Amino acid sequence: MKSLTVIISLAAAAFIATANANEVRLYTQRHYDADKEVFDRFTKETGIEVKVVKAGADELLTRIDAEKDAPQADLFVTVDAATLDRAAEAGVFQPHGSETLAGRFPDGLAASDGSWVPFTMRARVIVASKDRVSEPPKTYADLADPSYKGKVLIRSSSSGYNQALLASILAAEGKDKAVAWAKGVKENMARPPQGGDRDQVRGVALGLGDVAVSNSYYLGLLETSDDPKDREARAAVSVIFPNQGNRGTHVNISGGGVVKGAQNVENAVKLMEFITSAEIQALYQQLTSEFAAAKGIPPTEVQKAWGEFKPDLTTIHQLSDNTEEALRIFNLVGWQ
Amino acid sequence: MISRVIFWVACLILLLPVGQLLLGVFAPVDTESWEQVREYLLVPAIWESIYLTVAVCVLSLLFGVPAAWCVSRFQFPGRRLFSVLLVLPLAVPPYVAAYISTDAREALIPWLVSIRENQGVEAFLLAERVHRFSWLSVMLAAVLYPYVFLTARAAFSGTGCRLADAGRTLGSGPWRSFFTISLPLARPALAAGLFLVAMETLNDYGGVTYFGVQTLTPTLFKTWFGLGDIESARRLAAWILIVILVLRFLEVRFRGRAGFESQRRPARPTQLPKRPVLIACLIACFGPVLVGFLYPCLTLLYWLSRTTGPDRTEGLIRATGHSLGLGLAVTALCLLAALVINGINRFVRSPAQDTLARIASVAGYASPGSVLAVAIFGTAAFFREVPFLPEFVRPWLISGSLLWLVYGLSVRYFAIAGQMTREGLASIPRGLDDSARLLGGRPFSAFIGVQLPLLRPALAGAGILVFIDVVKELPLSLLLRPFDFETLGTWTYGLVDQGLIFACAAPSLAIVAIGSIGLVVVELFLLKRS
Repeated sequence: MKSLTVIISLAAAAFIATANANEVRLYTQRHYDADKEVFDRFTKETGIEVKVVKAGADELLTRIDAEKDAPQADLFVTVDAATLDRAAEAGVFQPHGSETLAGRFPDGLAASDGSWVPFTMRARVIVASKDRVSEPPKTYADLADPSYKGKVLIRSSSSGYNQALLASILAAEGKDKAVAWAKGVKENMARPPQGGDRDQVRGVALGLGDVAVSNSYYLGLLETSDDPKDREARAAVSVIFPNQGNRGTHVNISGGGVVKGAQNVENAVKLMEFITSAEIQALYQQLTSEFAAAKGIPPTEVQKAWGEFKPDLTTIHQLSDNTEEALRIFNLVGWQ
Repeated sequence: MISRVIFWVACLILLLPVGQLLLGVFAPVDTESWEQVREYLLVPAIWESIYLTVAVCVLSLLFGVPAAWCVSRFQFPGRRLFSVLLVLPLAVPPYVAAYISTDAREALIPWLVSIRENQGVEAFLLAERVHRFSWLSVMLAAVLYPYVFLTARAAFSGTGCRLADAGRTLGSGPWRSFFTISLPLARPALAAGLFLVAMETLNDYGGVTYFGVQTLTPTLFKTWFGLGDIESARRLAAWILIVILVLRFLEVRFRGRAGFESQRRPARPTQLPKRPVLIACLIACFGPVLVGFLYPCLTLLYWLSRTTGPDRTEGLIRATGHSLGLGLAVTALCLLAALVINGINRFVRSPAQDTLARIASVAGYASPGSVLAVAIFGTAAFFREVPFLPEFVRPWLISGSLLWLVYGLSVRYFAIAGQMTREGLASIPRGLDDSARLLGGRPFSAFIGVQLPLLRPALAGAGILVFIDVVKELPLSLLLRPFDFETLGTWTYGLVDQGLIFACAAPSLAIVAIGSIGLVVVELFLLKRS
């Protein structure tokens, strides 16, 4: 028993959060292999260690809130513009104050008050079976058309990606159209929502539905997967960027900002500058098939094959104001 | 007097986060989103929870009871082996059991598509729902039934066995003796096992969301994440907790004085079954092992063989170390707390104290992991504000210090240690205490000298269950962990989250292997003693 106590206290001592001058500490919703590679390069170049806690965004925000008296994180990173704006509104961030960062992104993409910056973009695309769909849908609205009854695959309304999509429709077209759309899609569903975006694409390949909604980078991941079934699924569908005739395809942002009261502000800003540099933005496109958020980064071959598209940059900063209403609508129409 | 103080302090420490959570029922909430929860989400979620819990409980009985009956009543080749194998599914985390069925479920999609083509959309939707729900229930039951199996086996091989033998000698047939003697006698044991199964089912998040079944736990998460409303989520969690406490109370009341004795020397089965019974025995024993252990393990091994990509061995070894360390620390703390609380409760008799001990041993287990984590954040913030703390204590109080993770896990899994120790103590005759006291022993030395040795099997069983649960645990570890701290559970989650389903095989197998080794050791140790 005694030796056990000794072992435990020794082990614990190793994990006590000690203030180390040369590190940056992240609370992040994304910790893909690609992020690890980027962080390793950052450490190699700057000598600054990157320490990470990965969990869901709202859980991390709760933790940040509970730590207000003694902030532990330097940088908060998530994968949804609405969450970023909501966090900014709640006073989670402090301005990064970097001029390098300020000039890097297309107008209107980063937070206007300099609280957070985008790292990558993801487009919410429609995929359609190459075999069974000769005239694929051109807009999100088409998915609510009765001709697709029993043929649409889309994940649950708990998914932040779907909440953001409906929030963008709310912002651009108003409540009545948003309700009608959600209702129409709900009635067209091939099955009650389940699984992730990838499962929807696989569902189309297996014949369960004809069209599905997925984030663009999942298609890239399927294409480069080590599982032949994934690659076959990707090959069986065509990719459509919706709403090209009007406001553009709904895109969402993965990004982050410096946590208020952070202990390593300078290092955090350095990491943000590193991530949004041309070299690393190109690397992200290569590794995760996400789109670069910084200006002037050419798409990869995989992305070029999907075709060019116009992103909807008009609604991005209206998502957070509309998310709650979007959820109400999901609940109202019974979209699980 | 000192012992009373120790008792109250120990219970208070265990109940602090949950108490804070319960206060959430009275806290003012943004009524609009709470109204929404009530109007749209609550009723369907309650129904889905009831369907799923009932289905998993019934299946757990089907998996667990016949197998327990066979290994405790009949002498057949492979009996001892099965007795150990039947416990092993406990080492498979429910979320892993859910993931591994993906391939099999996808294989059935063409069948579903043909239903839609031939019988229309309505029939398809019904078939799809039944198909999904059945898979989920079977997979959950397949890894949770050991709770029922363990308690049922103990009951069948104790008094139940001897009375059933008596019944047989008086001319009742095997079926009659099972249904009229053994089963009623085992009822309290089955209820205790089913309670654990129901808790695990209600608390599951990974599995149910993967299958698109909206029970109360995902609803709670939806309230929290979707509506960004932690207060409504806490209120919901507090209500779930209250309902569970009431159910528990009713179960205990209903059980009355009928305790179940898990620690008596079990009678050795002597009956040699005839051929048809032997076949039935083998099926009853092999079926659950096949679904709950072999199927997950073989699937994971197959995935492991197909894993490509970067070498993750180093991370895996570190995560294994963290899981083992956490498991040991939490197990030690839980056992210690269980001994202190139950021991004092035995010597200092008071109804108020007894009620408190009962509540303390259910509360943490009954609260959803993530919500408990939030409560722990609150506790941590509370302690940081305590004035005049010595400086060296401060670093420990930062949220993200290992202290809170160990504390959170201990609060959650104390229930298992607390209850098993309690049942263990209850089966030690009071007369022994009195004899020890008569011979001049003080309560403490009587406890150390007399009860502790008798409690050993119960403690070993409790310890291993706590240990395995900590190794499998996800939400608390995910949320309370320090920087760059991966356990096997969080590692698995991270890989599945990236869609690296093959790569998640290695940490999943490590969880299963650690759990299995522990279970085998305890099973052999316990069996040897008997």
